[in-house]
Amino acid sequence: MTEAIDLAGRTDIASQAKALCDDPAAFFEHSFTKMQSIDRDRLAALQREGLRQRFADLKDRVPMLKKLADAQEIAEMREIDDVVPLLFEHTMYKSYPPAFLEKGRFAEINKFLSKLTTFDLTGIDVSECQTIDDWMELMDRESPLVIMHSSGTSGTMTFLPISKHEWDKFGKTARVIALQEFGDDPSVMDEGGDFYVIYPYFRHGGSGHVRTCDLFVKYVSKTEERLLVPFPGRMSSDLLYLAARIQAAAAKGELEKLDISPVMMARKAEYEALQAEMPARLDAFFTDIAENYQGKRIFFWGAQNLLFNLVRIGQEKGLSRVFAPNSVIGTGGDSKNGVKMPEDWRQQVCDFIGIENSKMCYGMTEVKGWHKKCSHGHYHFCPWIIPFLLDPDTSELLPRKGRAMGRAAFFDLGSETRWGGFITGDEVTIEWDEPCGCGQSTVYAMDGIERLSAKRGGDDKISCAATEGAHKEAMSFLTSFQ
Amino acid sequence: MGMEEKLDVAGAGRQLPIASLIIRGEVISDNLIEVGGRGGDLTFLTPDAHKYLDRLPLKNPAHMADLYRLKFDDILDYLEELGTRLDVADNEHLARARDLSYLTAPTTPPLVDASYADLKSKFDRAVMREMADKMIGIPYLEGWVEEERLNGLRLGIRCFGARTLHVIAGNSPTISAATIIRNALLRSDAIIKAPSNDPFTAIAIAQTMIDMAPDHPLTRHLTVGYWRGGDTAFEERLYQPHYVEKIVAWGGFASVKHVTQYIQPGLELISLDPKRSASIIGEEAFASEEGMQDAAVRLASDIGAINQVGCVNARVVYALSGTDEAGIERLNRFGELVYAHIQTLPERTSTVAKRYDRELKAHVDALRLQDEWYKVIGGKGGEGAIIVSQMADPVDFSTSLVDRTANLVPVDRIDDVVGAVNAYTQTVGVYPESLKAELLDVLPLHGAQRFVSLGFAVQASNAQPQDGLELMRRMGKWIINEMRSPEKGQAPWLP
Repeated sequence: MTEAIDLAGRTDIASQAKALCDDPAAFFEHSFTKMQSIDRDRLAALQREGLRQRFADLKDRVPMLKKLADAQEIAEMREIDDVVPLLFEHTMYKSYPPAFLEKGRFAEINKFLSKLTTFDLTGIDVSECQTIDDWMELMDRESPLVIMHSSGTSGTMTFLPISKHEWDKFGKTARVIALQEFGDDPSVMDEGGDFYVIYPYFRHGGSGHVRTCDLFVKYVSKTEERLLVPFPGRMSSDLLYLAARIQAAAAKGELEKLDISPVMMARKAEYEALQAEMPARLDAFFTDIAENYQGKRIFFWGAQNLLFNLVRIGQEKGLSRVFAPNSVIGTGGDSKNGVKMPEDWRQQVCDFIGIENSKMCYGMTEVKGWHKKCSHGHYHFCPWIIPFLLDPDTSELLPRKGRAMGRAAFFDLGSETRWGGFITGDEVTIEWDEPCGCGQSTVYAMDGIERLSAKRGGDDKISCAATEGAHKEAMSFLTSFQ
Repeated sequence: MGMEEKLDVAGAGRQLPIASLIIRGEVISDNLIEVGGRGGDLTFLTPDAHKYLDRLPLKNPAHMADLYRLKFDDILDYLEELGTRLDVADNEHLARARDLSYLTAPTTPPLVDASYADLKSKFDRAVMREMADKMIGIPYLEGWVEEERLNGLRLGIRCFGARTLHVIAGNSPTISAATIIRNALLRSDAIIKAPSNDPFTAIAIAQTMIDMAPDHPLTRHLTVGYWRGGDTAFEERLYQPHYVEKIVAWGGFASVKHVTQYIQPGLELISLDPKRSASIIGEEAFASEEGMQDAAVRLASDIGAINQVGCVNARVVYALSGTDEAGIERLNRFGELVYAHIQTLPERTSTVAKRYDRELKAHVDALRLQDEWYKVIGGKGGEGAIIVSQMADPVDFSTSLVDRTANLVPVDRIDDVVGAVNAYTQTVGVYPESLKAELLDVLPLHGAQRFVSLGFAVQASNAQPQDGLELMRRMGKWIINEMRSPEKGQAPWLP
């Protein structure tokens, strides 16, 4: 599929690149096959031009990008590699003073976020917001953003300002990636009956994965009724933040100094109650699905452990091959959170669901694309996302040739209201030259993606100035010791 | 003696260096396996400790009797003589260990050199005598000390050595020397588990002991080896009360974590926890140019010495500069001075970091752009940085500050500095000296363990408690002999 894609007469590289950046799903005519068949040279030219346009468009509109570019005296992008000094560290989205969130100073948070997006959020009146949940709901309502936050394990939450338009754009590409295989005609997405989307968690919330529910309803189940969730309410961002603060404070030996507002204390009790009833609720949820949705076409996309819970409960009931064979099951890529799964968990999932294969993707909240694993076990990069490998120590760009391992960084051309350049904490091996035997034309990452923090230095490196996380774990081990 | 390996550091790729296993006077260099090499570290060879596990522990504690035929002065004679041999100029074991430590140490060659040059001073006779006398009391080490109690009890007390396993830290080679000295003074039996970032120093000292006096009891009660911390199959066999009575663990995460699961009656853990240190700068520092300069150069030293790899180094610094605009301005200027002084610290004290922590750099670079809330001075290269908070709020990554990077936090009142101290605080550097009066009886309740005059955080004596605990006293076994007679008190069997 190397011929130029017809873009209603748009043949010049500038307008083609703009079309790719603005609506990748439409650019590839909602075809996963076309997406992954694009000629490499042509894609390189489109990516270079797309990057040039994005930088020209955003550099004076995203204040933090401007500051970084000015400091480095970078005025334009000529080559793809020119973007490397401007890739944002993952810490960028949480580099506000911790007191802003601790003390609920949301006007200041808006000021902080306004530096990271093209939107000025300082005019939104957040003075009535007492909690993060209040603020998130207000921002959902009154801002052009779908703010996504992290779980905040270090005690500070990352806030990612993605526009509603960008989020929807991601939904369109996610539908293509999740529902088609390479070689499929796009029409398969609409054939074979309705999808029931299973999401064994909260319906609403501020973290990226919970928010994906909205996209699944819009682009997969097509109706809220066919979205099955055990907790129809909102996952409280405040409770998540409180848990993170408790952990962080405990690790610093400062638990008694934790200053928790009465509003939060009331919510803490609510959280504990929810925690207590969670196992029974989940059990009832899975039982309901296993018993009442047999033979239905289901769609599950998410964390491996959530999926495996469903499988385990089904197995306990002696069920197998429960759902329609054209169900779609997909999970995140290589293990990042250390959840221990049985060796053959994937096979167990397929046997229980009743499908041939489950899909697997590599992706992250900060970069809007799912890089799906092919039949040869490689993660092929979405064409609108430019991958980079950096030296893990120096952050120098590694040559984009041969097969190389390094810290992965990406530029997401789909990002139009915030800067798309992002450095990950993942160690990835990319094959830059050799085409994949699966027939897809795009560059790909090898299996075995790991978190650098888990790998480097190792635990055996002894220094008395220990990291907080390490000590936390040691402490919990000590306290559990009889 | 075992085979003597050829040193070829330059060609380390072809000929990997060997960290021998020392078992009670014997140097073993067989059954080699490859270790290390992660994250750009040196790969080295070492005997597979699994193959020698049965020989590592002193199985029969009665074999410690030979140590009790030594007089305390015999021990000092031995150690003093050992000290004279610990000069890299004429000790090839040590010279080799130093050269290899350039590659493994978290610090840079000038700092490794300074530490090695400092080894001899640890073996100064008067210093060792002071250490034994102040930390335990030489009479208790030498024999039974008789005392009497109010109820007529006559008591004999003696501090005995123990079979001890030391999981030591690798941030300074002097830790190896201190461990060997403590072990000898206590007449203990030691197994030292060398750390991966300093696998050579303890072995070099042990080899020097073998060259000096191969059959001496002190040589025969030292075992040094490397195995990967957390090797459960190995450790659950070795860490047993019938082999080891005490474990001294220097806070290495994997090691301590795995050690704790073996703790049981008869096997005691003495944990030198991971600690962090802080500083408190009084308003006097901001009252005059002299005060500012004086405090800045001192603080630079507490931050930069040994390249901030120690738990004694200052990381978060609370300054009574005030949080109003003028106060912040004063602190920013002070930060510039501290940064400048760090850059001019003598090479034996501090250098540009070996490898600036990548994750820390990501944080520092992100904050640099948040200049409304943080002023980042320096840190563009690997030379270190001063982050001045523009409000009374430390950075959220304060626990990962390293490689000469510190966070200055402005406060208005002395009560606010309590935030600097928590359960993991070791050293608190204070300026000026007079400010300590307000802190000495307060901060220990919050966790502070050691106060120092600002600028002297890295200087300590071995003749003082360490990290809030009496390490040497705990390393000994305090045996008592109670002497009573029916004549002197009520006997239980009498009506």
